[in-house]
Amino acid sequence: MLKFEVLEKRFLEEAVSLALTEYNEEYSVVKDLPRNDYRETVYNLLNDMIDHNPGIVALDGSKVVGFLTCYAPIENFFVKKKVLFRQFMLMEQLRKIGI
Amino acid sequence: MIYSKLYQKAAKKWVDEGILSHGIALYAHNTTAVESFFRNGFGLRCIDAIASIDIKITKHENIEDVKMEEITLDKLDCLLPLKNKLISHLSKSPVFLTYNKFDREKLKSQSTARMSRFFTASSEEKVIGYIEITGSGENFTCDDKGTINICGAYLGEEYRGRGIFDLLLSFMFKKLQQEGFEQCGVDYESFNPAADKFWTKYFTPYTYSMTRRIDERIN
Repeated sequence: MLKFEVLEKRFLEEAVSLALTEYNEEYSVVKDLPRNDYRETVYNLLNDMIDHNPGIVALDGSKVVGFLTCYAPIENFFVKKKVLFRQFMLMEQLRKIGI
Repeated sequence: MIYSKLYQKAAKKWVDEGILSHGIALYAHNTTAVESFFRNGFGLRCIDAIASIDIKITKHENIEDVKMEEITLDKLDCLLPLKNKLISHLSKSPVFLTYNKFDREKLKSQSTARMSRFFTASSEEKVIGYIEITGSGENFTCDDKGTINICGAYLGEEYRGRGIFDLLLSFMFKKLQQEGFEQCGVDYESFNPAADKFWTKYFTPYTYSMTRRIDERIN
């Protein structure tokens, strides 16, 4: 059974792997996308997000199968209220376990 | 299902903090995620798209009386009217984007800061359209050294429908290809009909940015 916890640093490596899998899936359809190793880039992006505004992680046992996190809120962006921009990456493992 | 559960739990936290506008960039071909956020009240707003610059764009080699060139930053003043026409266009229905108009100083400082390059179409000595490109864009793929990014474009309304913009894009791609670039990215509002129609002729969407604005009376 899945459980949901706050996305913390200890989940970072697994989250990065999920995010890269997601990019590679998009690349398999859109071949014009750059074919680079983005591990370090994605690691730094997610590390920064976790520092500023922890999101939520989905766990199957102790395994990270999905997460939802965000950048820190931006004031007066589009509206005169706080706006939140999230980078979302959820994973193939979810589909594999039939959810 | 899981996308919805993650959003349900995260959104509670964020709304409790007074964060009422949410935006998310999803990979365009992850239909499960796109459908899930659509069902959670999100709507499409912005698209990142990409094209290989060796694609054949137009069978026209030239258009009579229309000249294509790359201009240097010391000739920026000729772009000022078009830059402000673009801002005016974006403020109208159905786009409704608000930007402050450019003056010479702002145009120069912005173009210098982001190291813009400008490709123009001119007729009778007057610039009628342009494409602005930069080395960076809206997400990490845009920083790839083989990728160049379109960050602004406009063609005067009276010149549309003649293939001028296609030819300008083709002219630019040929020059960039000679410089070693391989891909070109663009981002545009899905609710800008002119942009949506033109860019999807040659570019493939790879992200959909979706937004939801929650009723501020909830708090």
